[in-house]
Amino acid sequence: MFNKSFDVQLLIISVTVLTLAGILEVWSSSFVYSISHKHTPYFFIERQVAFVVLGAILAYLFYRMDYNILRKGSYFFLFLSFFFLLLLYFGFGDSIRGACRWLKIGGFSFQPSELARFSIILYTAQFLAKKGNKIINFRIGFLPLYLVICLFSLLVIVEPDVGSAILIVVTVLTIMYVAGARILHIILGLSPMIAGTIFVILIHPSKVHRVTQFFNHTVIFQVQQSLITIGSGGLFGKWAQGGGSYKNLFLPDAYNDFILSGLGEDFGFIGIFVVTVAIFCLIFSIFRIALRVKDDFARYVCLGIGISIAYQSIVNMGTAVGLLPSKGITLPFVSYGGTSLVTNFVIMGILLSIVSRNA
Amino acid sequence: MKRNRLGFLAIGIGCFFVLFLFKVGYEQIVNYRQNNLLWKKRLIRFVKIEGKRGKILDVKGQMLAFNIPFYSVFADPFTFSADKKNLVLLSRALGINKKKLLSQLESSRRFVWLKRNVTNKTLEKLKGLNIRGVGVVDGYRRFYPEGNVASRIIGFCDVDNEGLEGIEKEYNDYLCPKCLHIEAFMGMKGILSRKDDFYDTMNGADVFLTIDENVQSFVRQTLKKAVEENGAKKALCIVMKPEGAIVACSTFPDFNLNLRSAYSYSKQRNSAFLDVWEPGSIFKLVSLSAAIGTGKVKRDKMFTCGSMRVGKHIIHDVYRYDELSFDDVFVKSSNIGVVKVVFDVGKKRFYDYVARFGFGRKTGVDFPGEARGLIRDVTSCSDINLANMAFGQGIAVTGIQLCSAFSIIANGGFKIKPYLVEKIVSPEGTVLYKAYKKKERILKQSTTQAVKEILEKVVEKGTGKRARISGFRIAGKTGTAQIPGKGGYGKETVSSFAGFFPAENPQFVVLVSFFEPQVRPSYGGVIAAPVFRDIAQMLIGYEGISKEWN
Repeated sequence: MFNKSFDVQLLIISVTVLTLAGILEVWSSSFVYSISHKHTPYFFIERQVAFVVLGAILAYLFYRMDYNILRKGSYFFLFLSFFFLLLLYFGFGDSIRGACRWLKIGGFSFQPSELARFSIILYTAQFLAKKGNKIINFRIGFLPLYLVICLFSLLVIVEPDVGSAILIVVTVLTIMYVAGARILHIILGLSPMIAGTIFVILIHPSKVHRVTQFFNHTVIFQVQQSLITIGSGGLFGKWAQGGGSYKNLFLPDAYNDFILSGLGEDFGFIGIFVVTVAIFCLIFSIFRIALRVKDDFARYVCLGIGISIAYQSIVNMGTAVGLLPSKGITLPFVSYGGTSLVTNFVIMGILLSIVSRNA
Repeated sequence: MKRNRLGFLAIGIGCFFVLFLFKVGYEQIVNYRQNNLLWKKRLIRFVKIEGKRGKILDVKGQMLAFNIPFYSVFADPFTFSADKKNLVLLSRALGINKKKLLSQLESSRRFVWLKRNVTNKTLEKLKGLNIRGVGVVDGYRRFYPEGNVASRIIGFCDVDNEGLEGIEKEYNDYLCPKCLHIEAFMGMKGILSRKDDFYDTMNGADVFLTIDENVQSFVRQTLKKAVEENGAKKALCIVMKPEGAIVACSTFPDFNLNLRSAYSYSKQRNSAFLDVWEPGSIFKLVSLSAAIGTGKVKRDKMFTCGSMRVGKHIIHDVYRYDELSFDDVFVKSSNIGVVKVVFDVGKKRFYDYVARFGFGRKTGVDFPGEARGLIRDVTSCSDINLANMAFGQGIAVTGIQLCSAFSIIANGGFKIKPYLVEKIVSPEGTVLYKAYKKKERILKQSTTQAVKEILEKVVEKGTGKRARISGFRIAGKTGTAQIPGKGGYGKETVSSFAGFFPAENPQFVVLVSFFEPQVRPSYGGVIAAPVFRDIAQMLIGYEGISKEWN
């Protein structure tokens, strides 16, 4: 019933819907902050549009490029992101709100963790494709990959960004799970995190929030504000009244991490529904492409991309409504943020490249 | 790759999305009202929009009081960190002692004034410092461009721009700006952007005084000069139109409205309306009018003025006259003569005339706190009391009462209400108030004509000779009242001259009084009459009053 072109069409339509919603909502949520901090209302929206254009160009280039280069290139990207994370660790980064997550090169600043996400997906796909059926073997198929991932996670933890580290590990473990690794190994892989959490709760029940940074005061405040912002949108939102202004005044990070709240205020349940469906369609189409692709490496790349986007979306959405502990992660294609936007567009280019070369 | 595992994963992701949509739907649809209420509560603010206080202008539209920007510095002791560096910076910028600053900041409130009315320079300094928890409120402050001129008429406001004295107080309701409390959406800066034309309509109404700033400042200069010469402790001058409009009202010493905190309150009183004093011979106007009005004394009657006893008391005259005609009693200002006249009129009729002229009652001038004066009750008035009242002792009046008494003669017998405000105009230009000219006949035309004749003679050949201006008919009366002190009347006097001109068609009534002049003789005819003449001459030139025909 569905053919290849249907998946690609769904993919492109979803990305387009999300990108347009993002541009609209970044504009609506950022202009007040932009005026008060940058003295022009256009600072964020200009950059968002510029990054979309840049991303689209890069996506096209990656689409024309043979993705097989990435098979070898995955090592290069892995070392590159490892190097950048080390740079952060040795204090070359820009500190924002106590966390050092940004690296400045020339006039540009970007988030090495985005590159890390990308390179880890490539590396995992390459690893799994190379090992083939041996992934059920603990020593050959599981441990080497797991150790590399743990090394990366540690570098991310010290940023400090515990949430992202957990997200990286969980993403990779999920890819391995779908690829066919033993469930016992997966549980073993998760166990350090579970053990760590239990350990902290047992020793310092009152300090859980400090370790995880989940439930401190400002975060709870932010979630409350987020719920009011979303809830006030009602079914149809306040776009007819010129847009809601609550997000601009009371919701920090309304234009990136909490973009969904602003969307809820402006466009109501309808708006959130459309965006949610678009994200689901995006993930759905990526998974379907993964099933269709013959080449192992390409399949795992698709799978990794789908899972990564799914987890990012889930964490972002869950944070916005308080279903999950707060974690500042962008909503793919919608939130403001150059690195994440460009990375996601590049990923889409690779996907299209895979589809076009696996007819 | 295992298809079923991918299926599980997809289902799991789908489940989360559904859960998410349920949660969002719950907040947006089920919980909508509560969320929207919170939303409104935090976004909607009650904003007070206020214009500026109305201006005070003179009769020709020259500004006497208007607004200039005014900045006040406040602190929030909760967010302000009172460390040494901040304190030093702040105390240096504001010029406040550090200890005082600390004590001001030791408050549990979240809002403390640090300094009101700071200069632009201080403001710039503060902005440069950018200390957390310190802010500036911009408002406006009254400014009085003429400074000392008419300062006691205009009055002043407190820091919150509420009138405390003078016109500022009397017409506070008109001057006060309109105030709008509106429900406003909180938005980014400038959603409630200032549209100046809108704010202008919120301003208070402008008050136009009857005062003419040119006359007022001339009168002030003249008084100042005269006081320098005669060393009087206090001086006052009222220039009034016969129908009641007060053209100038000056008292000396005066004070600068913009620096009023440097003066004690007693110096800020308007002594023309608020202080009462014994008028002396000027008051003989009432005796004269009573004698003519009642017809009890014939104008050809002669009075022997050698000496006179009333009970145990002896009445004195300055000069000794043997026999005086009725007119000469007033022209030469004989106390004995006037006592005899009043005795002829009779106590009750005399009291009737005192009341008709408005003594012992407020004139109704639109100035806050006007005094009534003091008059002995008719039932307790003995012969000697009556005799004293006849030449203006043992009775206390205000300057404005005297001035309006003379205006009754000037305008042909109508009692008037003196007034200071000509009109009040709203910012849109509609006239909200116009001076109400009260007119009540209390004397016959013939009576005022006769009184006028005698008053003219006073200037022509009597005690008021020094007020004469050749070519103009001037009517007036001098007065030299002794000031009561400990153990009776002393040597200090109140020397006055009141009059109007031109007598055939009076345009101005002028009262000039000097309190305790230090030069001798201190007669009103010597000290006050020349000042009257100077002022009258100025008014004649200023208003272009032409000489009489013959």
